[in-house]
Amino acid sequence: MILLRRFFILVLGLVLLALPMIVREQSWQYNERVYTPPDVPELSFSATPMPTATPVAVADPALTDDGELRRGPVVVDFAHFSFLNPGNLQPLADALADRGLGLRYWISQVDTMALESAARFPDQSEDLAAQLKDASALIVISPFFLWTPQEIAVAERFVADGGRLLLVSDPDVMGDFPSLVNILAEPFGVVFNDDYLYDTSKNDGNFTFFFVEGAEAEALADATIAFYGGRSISGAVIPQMRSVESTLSSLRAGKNGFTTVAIGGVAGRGTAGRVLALSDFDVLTEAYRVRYDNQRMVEFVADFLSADQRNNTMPDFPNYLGKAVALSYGTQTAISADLLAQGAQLQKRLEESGRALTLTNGHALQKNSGDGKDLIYLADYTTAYSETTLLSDLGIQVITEAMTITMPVEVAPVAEPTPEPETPPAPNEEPLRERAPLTGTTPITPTRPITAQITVTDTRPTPAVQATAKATETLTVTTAITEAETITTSALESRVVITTYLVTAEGLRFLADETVLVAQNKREDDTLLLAVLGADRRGIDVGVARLLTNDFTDCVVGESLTFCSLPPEDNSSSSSSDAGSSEESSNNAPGSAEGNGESNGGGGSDPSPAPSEGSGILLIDDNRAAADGESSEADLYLQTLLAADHNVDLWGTKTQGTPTADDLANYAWVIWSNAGYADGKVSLEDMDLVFGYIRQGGRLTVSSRYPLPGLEEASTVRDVVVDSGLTALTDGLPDGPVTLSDEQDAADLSPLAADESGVQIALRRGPESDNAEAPIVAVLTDAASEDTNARFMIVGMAVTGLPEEVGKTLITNMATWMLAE
Amino acid sequence: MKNNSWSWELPVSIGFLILCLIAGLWLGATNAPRPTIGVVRFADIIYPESADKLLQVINAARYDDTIAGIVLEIDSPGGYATSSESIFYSLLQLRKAKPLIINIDGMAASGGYYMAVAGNRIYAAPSSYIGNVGVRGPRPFDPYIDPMELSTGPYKLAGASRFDQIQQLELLKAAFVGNVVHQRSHAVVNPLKIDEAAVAEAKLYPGAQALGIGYIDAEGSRSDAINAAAELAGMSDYDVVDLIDYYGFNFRIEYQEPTISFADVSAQVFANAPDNAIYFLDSRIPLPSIAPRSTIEQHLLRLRAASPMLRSPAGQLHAAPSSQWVNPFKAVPAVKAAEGSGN
Repeated sequence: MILLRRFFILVLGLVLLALPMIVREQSWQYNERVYTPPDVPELSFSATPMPTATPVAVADPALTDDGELRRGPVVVDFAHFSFLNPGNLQPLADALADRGLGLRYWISQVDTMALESAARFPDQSEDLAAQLKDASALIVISPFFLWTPQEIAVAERFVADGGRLLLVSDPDVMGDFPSLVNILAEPFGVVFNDDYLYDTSKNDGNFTFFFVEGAEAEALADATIAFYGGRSISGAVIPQMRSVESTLSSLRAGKNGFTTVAIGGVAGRGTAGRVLALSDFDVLTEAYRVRYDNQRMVEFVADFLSADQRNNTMPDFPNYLGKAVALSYGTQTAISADLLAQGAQLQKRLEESGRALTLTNGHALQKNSGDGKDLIYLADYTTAYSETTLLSDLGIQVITEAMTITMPVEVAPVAEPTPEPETPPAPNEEPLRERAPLTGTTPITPTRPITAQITVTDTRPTPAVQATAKATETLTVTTAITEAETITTSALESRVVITTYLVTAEGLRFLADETVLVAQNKREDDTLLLAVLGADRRGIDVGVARLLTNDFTDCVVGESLTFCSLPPEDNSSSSSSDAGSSEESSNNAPGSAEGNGESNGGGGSDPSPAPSEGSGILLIDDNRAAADGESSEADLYLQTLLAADHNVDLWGTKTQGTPTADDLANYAWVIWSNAGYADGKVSLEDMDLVFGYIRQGGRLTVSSRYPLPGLEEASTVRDVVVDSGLTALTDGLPDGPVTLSDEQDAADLSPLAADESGVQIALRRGPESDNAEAPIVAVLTDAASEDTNARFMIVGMAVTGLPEEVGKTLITNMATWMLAE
Repeated sequence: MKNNSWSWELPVSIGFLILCLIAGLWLGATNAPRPTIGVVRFADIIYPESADKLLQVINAARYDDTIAGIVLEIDSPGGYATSSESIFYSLLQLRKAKPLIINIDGMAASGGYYMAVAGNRIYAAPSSYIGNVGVRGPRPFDPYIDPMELSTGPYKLAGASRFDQIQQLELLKAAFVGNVVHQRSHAVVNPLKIDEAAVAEAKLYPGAQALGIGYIDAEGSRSDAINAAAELAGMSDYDVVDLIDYYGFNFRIEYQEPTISFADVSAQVFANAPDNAIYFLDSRIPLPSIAPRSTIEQHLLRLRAASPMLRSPAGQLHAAPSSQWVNPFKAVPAVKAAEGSGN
């Protein structure tokens, strides 16, 4: 019993020991989980991938009609740095190619890495204007940089001129910022909203790929078009397509039916209907155009861009010409190499645009038809006026006025009459007459400025040069001139200047010598006549150059008549523009020389016969090294040559730079003078130019104290003596030593004397000079130059150092010899 | 004799029994297993490394009987789609075993919210940002030929056609939106009150609005979440432990580590991402794949960004958004992200 009781107590103790844990685990359920997970089954998302599309044959490309001219390209603006891949334009390029249009990418020359601010992007309006000259349309897609007001003005003019404009602001093009695009769009009435459209219920795979409807655009009626990221368009536009009802705007809450394709333009500015605004570019790209009816959108855009023809004005040469063009020279003389080269340039330019140019005879204009070909006619005014009715058809008269100029004459004492046995005698030798004043840029001032009283002695329309009856009138005028000029006293001199004017039907008068006329005229067979007319060959050249370069910046452009000024930099300006006389400007005009010769006197009564037919003298005053206060030696050359009635053009290297070979090419004699300047030297570069000119058969005199590079060891010249080597240059000069008025330091040209292969010496240093007997005036010839009639004369001192009479005689002799045939 | 024996045995027996009772109470209190609520904090972009850390922790807790419930504290803008989905489905498995309570501390956007909807309940502070349910990825590109490589099949390099890629992105969205709608529609406390289309709009909501539409179950904090976990676990007496410390992991899942900035982390994440990676990521954070790549593009965009008149309000330029919340990614310049991506 005791054991039983003790066992019971022990068991009870164990129970008490375990009870708390049991209670904790079983009763209180401390570690029991009453958690019941939610009964939410897992979803399964399975989808069948889209099958690869069954290929469909590509449509045969449409062949363009070979008989049609290729139209101007569609310019795509990449110059404002659209973040576009040009390859994405390929579908549109295909569609445009079917319509005879190509794409031209306008790439900027701006160095973007050098830009310091996006707001200071440079103006590219000039470049844009050049790009649009022959363009049919312009495409601007999400430009990154601002269009400048000047560029916008160019674009407006382009559209008003018949060009088409496609504006795209696509929200998923990087850098697209509708506020920037709107700077260009708003002048055309288009506003791109800064939103994007989306459709979460009806889309093409993404909520931003929404559908648009084409209720307004007939070409897109019933089409299902998907846009792949687009925005809404507002403004004064004609909607072409709208988003479907379920499509919403990211910003314009509570609305639908947004315009996504619209026609813009402002009637008041002539741009109405010529601007297409599109708010998605992707729809035109390769990956998306095959979806639904998107290809129709590509075709719609291409149709729009190719719909209009530009209103081609004169600067749009040759866009207004047909595929076949004939070229006629209005000259009675043979076609020279220069004219032929000009024709070749025109032909090349026309061929670049798909046109063909053929030559036709000079009478092509007389019949008012061109055998179906448009005609380019190049002529001087006189020929055009006398041989054709072109100018009168255009309402233009050519009028010549003769003016008598009376001026005082300096009577310079002459030591003795200068015999000129070898000088070609002029038919009507005259007293010294003043020539045209010099250009203001030269440091030389004529010693006898014109202070003339001008009296108009005769005014009459220029008659037909070859018409016998009217030629009589011309002769009458010439007679008057002769009479007027013979009324010369010892103190006064009279001179007649003949000026030719173009007079329009409205009474406007243009100086013919300073005007180039480019005219368009429809002929009876509906072909076009394009005439380039000038007073002389230079004017025609300038007119043709304007056509070739499409540069009519200083022209007054009209519907059929365009008047252009002659550039003043031309080397004949000093003699022709001031005097305005056709007699002087005719010297370089093969096409007009004959006519002018007749009009000014017919049978050789021209009062200013040129020493060399069809040539002139270029006097280069190489005054680059001139110091202040130094006088030019060229002054003496100029005055002496003018006094001898030579045509002289002056060129100052300080203001006009070194002339080019082309500048020298048209002159019979070139004088390179810097001997008046202590530091005047002829450089190696100058010699390249000189020898280049001589190799072409030119005749050139270098008058310099240092005329040859490499021979620059100076010594003093105090006197000179005549050498018997070249008497043509020393006729009339004293036989004995001639003492210089001022001694000069000049290069020792003794090495020339040692070269006996082709050096003829006219003057040598006198006995009082250092290096006596060294050549001073020498002529170099060689076999090659003789073949080409070239002559190279070196005058190794300033002729101003000689007594004035001696210097003038020497220069006169030089002119006679250098200009002789 | 008999009485004498009992007279001393009685007090001894009573003492023995008291001693046993005391010992039993002591053993019960000290040696019996004690219920625990585990807390783990995920404050990072979701990418394979951060996801792997989280998965290590939740897998350990899932099979630990002492862990009665789990509180997952989220502060994440989302991240990789695949990593987000991986976490989501792992959390669903965890939820089958133990209550999983979500506490959104800051933001749970996109992929961050994707993991949140796997919880039994979601708590969030009113100022937290929640939602942005959607998918992001680079624009699709067309098949191409790599001049330096020979491949088989027209889509070996691109993976799919342009429209395949568009469809695939939509499928990812459908799965994301579908799971969100499905899970939240079954929420016991505050089920979803908007339809799928509204969810697909990918709006980002502050906590108060999120509660209104059923994106979360209640406004609250970590304490509320712990209480909820204990409640669902049926416990009133429990411990709370930090699971990372509890299991002795030597990492944190937070970007705000002393020596590494969030910018560095994100740049590193994007640098390791493939070009065509798909993201469940807060849309205010620029993707490296669409950041300007060339030097000229970067220069041009910098020029515009520097010009107030020309600065785009859109996200294209990847400028810091002018929203009220403090976006830790705004310190990540797009160019830097692009440079980091090695592009």
